[in-house]
Amino acid sequence: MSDSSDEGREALLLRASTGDQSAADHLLGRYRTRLRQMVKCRMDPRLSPRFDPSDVVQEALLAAAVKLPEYCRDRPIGFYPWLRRLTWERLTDLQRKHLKAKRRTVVREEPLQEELPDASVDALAQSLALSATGPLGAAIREERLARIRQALGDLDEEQREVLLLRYLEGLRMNDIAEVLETTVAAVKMRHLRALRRLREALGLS
Amino acid sequence: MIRPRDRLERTSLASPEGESVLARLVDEVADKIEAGETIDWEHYATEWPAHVDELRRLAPTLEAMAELAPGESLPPKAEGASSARSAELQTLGDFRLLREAGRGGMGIVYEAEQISLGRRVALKVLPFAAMMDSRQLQRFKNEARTAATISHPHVVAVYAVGCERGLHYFAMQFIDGRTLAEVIGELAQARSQPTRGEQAAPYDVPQRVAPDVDTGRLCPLSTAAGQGRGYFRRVAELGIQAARALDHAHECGVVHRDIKPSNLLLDHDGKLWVADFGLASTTREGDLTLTGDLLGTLRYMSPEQMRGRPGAVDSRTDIYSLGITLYELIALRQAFPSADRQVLFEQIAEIDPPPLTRFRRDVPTDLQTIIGKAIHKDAGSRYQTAGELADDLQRFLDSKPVRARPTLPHETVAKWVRRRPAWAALIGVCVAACLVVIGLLAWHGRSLSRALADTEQLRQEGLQREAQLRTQLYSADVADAMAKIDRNDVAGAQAILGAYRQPLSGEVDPRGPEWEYIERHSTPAEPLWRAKHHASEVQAVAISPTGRHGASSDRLGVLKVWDPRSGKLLKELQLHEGEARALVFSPDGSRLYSAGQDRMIKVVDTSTWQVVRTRQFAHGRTIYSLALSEDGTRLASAARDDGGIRLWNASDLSLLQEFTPPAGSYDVAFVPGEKELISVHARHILCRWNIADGKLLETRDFGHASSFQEVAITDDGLVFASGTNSLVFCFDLAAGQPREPLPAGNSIHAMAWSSRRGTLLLAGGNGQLCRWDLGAPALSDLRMGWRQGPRGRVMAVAWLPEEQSFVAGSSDGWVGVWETASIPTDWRRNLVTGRGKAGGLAYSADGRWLATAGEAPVRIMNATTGQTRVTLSDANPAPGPLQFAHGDQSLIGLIDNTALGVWDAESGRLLRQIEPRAGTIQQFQVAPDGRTVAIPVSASVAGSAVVFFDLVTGARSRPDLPCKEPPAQFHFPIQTGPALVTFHDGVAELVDLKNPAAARVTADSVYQGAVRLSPDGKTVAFGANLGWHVHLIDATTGLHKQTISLNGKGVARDIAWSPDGRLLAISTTLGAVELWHVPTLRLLYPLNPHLSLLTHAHLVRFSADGRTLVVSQNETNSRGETVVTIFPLGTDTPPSARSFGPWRRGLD
Repeated sequence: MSDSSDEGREALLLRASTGDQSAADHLLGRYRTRLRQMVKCRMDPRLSPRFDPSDVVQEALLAAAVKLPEYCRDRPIGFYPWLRRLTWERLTDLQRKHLKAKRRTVVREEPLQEELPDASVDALAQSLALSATGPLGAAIREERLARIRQALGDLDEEQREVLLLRYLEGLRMNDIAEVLETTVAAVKMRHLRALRRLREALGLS
Repeated sequence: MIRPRDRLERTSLASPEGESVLARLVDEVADKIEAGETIDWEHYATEWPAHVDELRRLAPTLEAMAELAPGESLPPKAEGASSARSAELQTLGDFRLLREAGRGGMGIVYEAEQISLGRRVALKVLPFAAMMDSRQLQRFKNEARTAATISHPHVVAVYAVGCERGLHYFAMQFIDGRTLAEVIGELAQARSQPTRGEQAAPYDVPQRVAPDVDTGRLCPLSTAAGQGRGYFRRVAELGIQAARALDHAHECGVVHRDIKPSNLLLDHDGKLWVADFGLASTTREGDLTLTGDLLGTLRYMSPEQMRGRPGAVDSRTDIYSLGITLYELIALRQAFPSADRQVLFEQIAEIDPPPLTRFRRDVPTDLQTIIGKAIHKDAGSRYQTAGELADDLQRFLDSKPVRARPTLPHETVAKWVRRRPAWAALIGVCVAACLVVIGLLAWHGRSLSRALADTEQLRQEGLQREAQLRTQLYSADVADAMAKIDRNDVAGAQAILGAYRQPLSGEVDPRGPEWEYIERHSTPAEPLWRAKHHASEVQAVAISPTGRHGASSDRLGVLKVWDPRSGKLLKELQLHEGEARALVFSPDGSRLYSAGQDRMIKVVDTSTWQVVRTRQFAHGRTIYSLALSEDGTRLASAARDDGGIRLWNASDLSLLQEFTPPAGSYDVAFVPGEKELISVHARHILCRWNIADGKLLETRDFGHASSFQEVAITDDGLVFASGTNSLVFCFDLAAGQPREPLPAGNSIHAMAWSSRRGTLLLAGGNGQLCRWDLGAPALSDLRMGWRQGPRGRVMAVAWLPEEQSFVAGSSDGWVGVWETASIPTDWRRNLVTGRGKAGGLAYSADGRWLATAGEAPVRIMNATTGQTRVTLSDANPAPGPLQFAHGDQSLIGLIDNTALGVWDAESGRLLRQIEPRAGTIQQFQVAPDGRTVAIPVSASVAGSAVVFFDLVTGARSRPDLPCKEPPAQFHFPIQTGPALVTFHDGVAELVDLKNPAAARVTADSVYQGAVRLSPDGKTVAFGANLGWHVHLIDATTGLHKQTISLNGKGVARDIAWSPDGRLLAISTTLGAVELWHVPTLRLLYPLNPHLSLLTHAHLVRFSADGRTLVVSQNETNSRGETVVTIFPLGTDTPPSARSFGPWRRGLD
């Protein structure tokens, strides 16, 4: 999340684009933790006994290593949003294959939330409810969990997505804007609205 | 993380109080809370009185959210670590890397020397281990250590497992030999082309089909591509060796889990070795997306392993994989050849490979039965231990009855029903229907005809399904064949393609131009001669200027002298200890200079072939290069390890000058005029030296971590430098300027420049060789007929004196001479069509003419020769759409944004100018009748509309079609008959011109420009704006039919349907052009239009016969030229006629 890492990233990207394998390894390795976090909170719970998020990330990074020179030529989107997209594709492939999701008949492209709002809502709700040392105290955890789940479920998909990207995946606002293909101002607005709804639901005023 | 104050203040001035300001403030506060800072509420109260309360109310929620914040991403590693790593990669701990021996799976294998013990080892480096997490890493280490404890005469010993500078490696016993995968490939090739080899090598090569196999003393295996019973006995012997090794490992508790031909090595004594124990754990056996090399592993996985249930995988998995390997040794083709992961999954899970008798009628029944048992889908029905398998194979050898039993007919049926329930049900229905028929016959004769019709319908459905499966198989095979060609596995590709050459009668031939394209790629040129002169890698070749002698030297320091015309071996000398990398003849051909790893420069007299002089290089280890001045008086040498360059007196080898470059030296050359030297070094540095005083005149750092290894200079002082990087750099000495580098795709191992031809020959790149004709827009890839396995890389090249042919030496010891003109290129041709960015690309229906709309003047040119037919006069088309019309008689383009021009395609005269009505035009589209042109006009006052003109008469031909606002973005991709697909504002619409009111919205999220209606008018293909997909929708109903995933290749930039609708060519924003098979929606192969680092593919067009594809680039090249790449898919012109076009002499 710090800008200092971006400088090193440019140098590594340049080198990786010319086939320097170790530079590519360094560069991709850096994003492991963040991507794993992303997969962890978005993977369908039915899959988690069978697949480790690390494996999904590993696959995605392997694919990224192959595609890196191509990416460097054009740079259609930011680097992390690109990696995230590759990872997302791996994940949705996996889930589609294993959960036999219904084939979509509607022609509509959504960059996010193809199949699984439930898993991510649960992940977010649980982490919120379990942050027991926070200002809320641990006593009413169960009740709170239900309430949070309700609150998150009530959020617009757009708003929930901003919360997920920012607080579970730790993306910066401009990265979120790229992922959601909208402007930074719009993302901030959704952030504000999501917080308000959540505040009401959690009774934090 | 904290926004600077001044920025906030600016926003406070610029924007009114409101939600958006609050949203920014909340973000700012959130950042602070996440960073653990205290919030200065007073500051907010002063600056933002209207918002401070709301901010405070939100703070607890923000704090709750901040608790969730994930850990910071990994701290960036120290800068420069990576480049240092590459440079230091020459050694790894106790190991000195000698050369790359191969790549595969997860690692790169190097031939290395263990410094402390002085022994040769194979070092497997796992670059991706750097990305494993600690759990995976631990598992890898544990398994590797266990594997290291296995000691067996047929198991490659693991000497050490270690980690050095973050690179994990595995040191193993070095086996000098080949893998079974290579052996299978060679035998398959020998079988598929039983005679051509002998014709091509009339001299010196013994009359046998697979000579390399014999030199490896694997005699029984090589008997004429595995003919006769001896061959089957040999296969059984190999099977026994492998099975015994596995049995021992299983007893030690180690399951290999990755047995496949490329993990079984055959040394020169014919002994088999099992390699890579303990490595399988680094690849997941789960069914996650495996790509590339991992597919090679997948092919040999047992059904239970493929399903990814860890508990189900035991030693019987190895028995299965060994069984499949033995199967392939006999069939000489893959048991499951599909390149498509999903198809492969299904095949492994459900289908038995074809019976071996299909490939070899004489295969002994017992051996077939044994293999059948080993590869049984059900682990419980296989041999339960590898020892049992070995015993049964031994019984076969001893002609005793084997234990395995052939599958009985009723078992076959039962198995089949289990695997194909749908088909079984279908047949059940058929049988039932027949019974009904019989019943009805007895009961009432009139129902007979109807019952028969039902039966017929069922039969038709069955046949239809079968045809679909066959089409699936076809597209999978095409994709697989191309993948093999890309790995230089021509034999493998031939084996796959052979099945389609003679379609069976009654079956639909599934082939199209795409098949011809790969068929051509799999028939490489034969050499004038070739011979396996060396036992190890050829490292240097040279031809005497008189053309009388050719010389080659190898990694073991052996020099061979041969006749360049016939290949006949004239002389053999052991010149050096270790590598001999540099060879050069004196200008009169009387002397030969050689140097190598022993730091010796040796001079050989070419009349007596005696070493007449020897000189030791002062320092360093390996001399990589020697260069002679034109008059032959001075010799320059470059050594890698101490980086030194020396200049010697060529007659007595006295030292004249020393040069001290900044990094290890790989190559040196005299600059024409011979006052200066040019040298190239590690880390992409190029140096210029003054010969007289040894002074460094200039250093150029091209800023890459890899090494320059080769340099070549033209008479005009143009320097080419290349190496482990995939680029060829070009530097103009006269101008003192670098030129645009050329992308080669892969490492370049050697270069040779021909002044007479203006051609640079490069070993490596995308083909086995590639060439660059001075001034041509890009490199062309050449494919040569080594007729070897995938390992035969070209390591050294040199021109023969007349420069019509060249000699090449390979990594597996072959030397051969090819005529340049006879070598097929990849047939991709690049034409310079004009100047400036190509806004439009016109390709005539007959495929003869081509034009691009760039800067004036615009020319119509011959699409084959590049010759100008005519230059457009009277007016110039604007850089926009351009189309041939009226039977290719006219060319249509925009003159400006109010008028359309119609030019005569033959005279270039402007025939007509069409000014439709007030408003602006950006697009137009000619209807398939060639006469009607549809022009969308955007006008705010008069209203926007699509207007229709007759190109011949210049009159309106249809009523206007009013359309929505805002009409600024109009695209009229293609239309047939009365339909028209329009695109505006992200929505594609299908308009029936007979009934324009009934416009149907068919799809949103369309990527601008990439909307194409199929030739039959039934399907619309469009690129999705979000996500990397091309969607196919039904043009009549607007319903979504299918999706093509571009799999990370970018967003579809342009799409072209082949005229028969079988193929889709898609260019993407990442520069790829992919050819898709529409009936099966499978990617057949990518075409490579990559010309430079700056440009990529843009517009794609098929010729009217669908046999040619043209691709334009999104930008001009560095000289401002418009370049169009032409891919002739179908074969109608002999390839040799196309090898040299008029564009060759680009500098003239």
